[in-house]
Amino acid sequence: MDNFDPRQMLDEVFKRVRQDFQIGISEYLAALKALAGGWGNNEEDLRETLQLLWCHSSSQQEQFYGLWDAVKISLRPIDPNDKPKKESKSPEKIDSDTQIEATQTTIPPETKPLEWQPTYRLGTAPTRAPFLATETETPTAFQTDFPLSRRAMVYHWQYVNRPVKDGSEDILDVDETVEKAARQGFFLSPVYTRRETNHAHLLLLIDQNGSMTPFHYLTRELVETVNCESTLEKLDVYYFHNVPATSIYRDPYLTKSILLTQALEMCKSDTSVLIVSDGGAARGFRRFERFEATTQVLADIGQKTNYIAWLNPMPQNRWQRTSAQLIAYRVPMYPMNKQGLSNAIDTIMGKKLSQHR
Amino acid sequence: MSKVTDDFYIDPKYQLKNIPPEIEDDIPKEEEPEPYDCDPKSGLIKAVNLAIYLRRPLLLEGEAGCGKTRLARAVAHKLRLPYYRWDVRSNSKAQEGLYTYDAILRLHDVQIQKLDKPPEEETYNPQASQKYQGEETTKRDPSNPKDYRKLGALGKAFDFKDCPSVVLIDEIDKAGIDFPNDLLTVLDEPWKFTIPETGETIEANEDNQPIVIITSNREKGNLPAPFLRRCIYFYIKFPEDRLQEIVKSHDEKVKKAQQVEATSTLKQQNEGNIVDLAIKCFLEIRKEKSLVKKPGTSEFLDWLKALRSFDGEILNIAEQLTEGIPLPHRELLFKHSEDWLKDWQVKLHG
Repeated sequence: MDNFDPRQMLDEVFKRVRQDFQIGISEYLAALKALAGGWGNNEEDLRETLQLLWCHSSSQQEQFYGLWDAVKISLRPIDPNDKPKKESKSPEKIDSDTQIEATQTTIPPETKPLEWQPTYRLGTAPTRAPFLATETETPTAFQTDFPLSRRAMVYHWQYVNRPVKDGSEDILDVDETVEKAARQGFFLSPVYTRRETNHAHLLLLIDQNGSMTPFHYLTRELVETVNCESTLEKLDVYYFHNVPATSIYRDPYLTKSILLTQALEMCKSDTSVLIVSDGGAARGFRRFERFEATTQVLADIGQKTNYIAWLNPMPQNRWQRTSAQLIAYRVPMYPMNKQGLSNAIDTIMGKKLSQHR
Repeated sequence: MSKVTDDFYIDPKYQLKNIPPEIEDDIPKEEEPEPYDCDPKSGLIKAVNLAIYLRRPLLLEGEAGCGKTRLARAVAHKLRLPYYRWDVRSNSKAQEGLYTYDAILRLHDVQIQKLDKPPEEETYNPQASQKYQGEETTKRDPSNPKDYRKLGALGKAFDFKDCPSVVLIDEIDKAGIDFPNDLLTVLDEPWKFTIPETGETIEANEDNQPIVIITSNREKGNLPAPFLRRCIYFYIKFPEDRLQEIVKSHDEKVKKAQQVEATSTLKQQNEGNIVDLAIKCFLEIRKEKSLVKKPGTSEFLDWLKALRSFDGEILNIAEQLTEGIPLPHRELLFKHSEDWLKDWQVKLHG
């Protein structure tokens, strides 16, 4: 490629990947530095360099191939259109181009009717199969596409935390020790303080099956992360179908039942309750009996604790005109994205949020 | 651009002319070969060289046992630079890579000094007190906090001013969720950190910004986006068609270490045969879709070593490998009961 302009290519690619790949100006400058250092003298070289610098997973690297081709195509057709105005020798080039095109189509020019000319011109646009990101991506790459990544879950669970200093007395308080030694004039023993332990109790109620089936992956991840990566003192996970009615279940297959009242007996006044359900928003139902039953359950829980929030995996605009909209009047309901999970956790930890009534 | 794609490369101005004695042990020995075969077509060399050129951390991912961890040492060996390794554990803190400070030891030393000191000597006199100190404490002076801080892998790399060091941060994903973010502040401009206990500021200048190589298995989900943004990312694929070269380079190391040549050409011929067969057999095993965990390069090398020399009982290795029942030394290849219990019948064509 003789008219290869690395700088133009770099700029164009950067514009396209900047947001998706979450890269910033410093990455752009690094690419420029690499370019200046001779890391992108030909097309292949530049592509490899940018791939190394800007892609941060193998799926992004795959995606980059397609993007690169798309940019190449978008930059190419400009040349023949621009050049006739600037340079004199470009008409020849177009001429030779059309000749090549003609040989490629294998239609002898003399048999072609004259009125075909305009349609023939349309045919000269470069054709290439559109890039399909899903075609090349490995299944494992999908997990990051969801608005709530595993990492975000782990991160937010950290904030379900009620620290109380009642752990083992084994943290050396250096400042206090030095001060005590100075006060006494001699050193007797080091001063220890107690370790902080997390006294949070979380009751997680998860809607299972039916309209929640597509979100099983997400709820499983949610339970897994809170189980393994959080420091909760006590965690209870129960499952239900549609409404946490009189009995709820201890397993995701809804076989080991337990009475809701029994589960609520464990709750203290500072227990946090998080309900994960679409509340009828997935199928667009608005059933009064479902709303009524849910209200009853919420009232039951409200007898025990006020720290309650509802996570809805459906996006907020889908709640309207469904039972979810009604339920949202009774309990703080948040969509299941990073912001939503963060707000929900703030609510169940008793932090006042201004946006909710 | 042959200089950036053929072999690991660093601008010669960064390299050491003569090695100072204090870091002699940190540089991988030249006479101890570091077998690392790198496919020039895979782009790994370019990734390493770009990371060195831009001084951005290189993040390596890939199957287990494909040489992620070995790379850093190989780079240090090739470029004759000091090499520091930091193994990240689940309770690692970012600060440990920079320095650790032993306040208790200092307190202890102060107490010991007081006890040993004769009561009439009230004022502190270093010469006098040194007499009474034990063998161990003579090196440490409680009035000097610097004696109680120990630099970590990154700290050493920052501290050694003559040339850049290669720092390996192994399995970064093992540590807590904020660990990578904590590291970020150090691995970027202005390349310095302070030690509040001693009041020191340790800074890496233009000439000794470390070459950081990080490995990850994505065991605990993804790394944070701001961290990834800084890194140069490379995914090491299993070197399907390079096994022959890898075996060769490892053999050279063994040969050099033992200083013996193969005793007879007959044996050598047989040897080559085993390698070929083992590679064929191994690649066939890796094709099996139902494997829970595919064996990697390191497993292969161990297996080959066992095949060649572990027991003399396998008289005709070639036959046994082609027959495939039972696969010899499969305990080296399969680490899951499902894989292990499978009835392995490797059919080799030709």
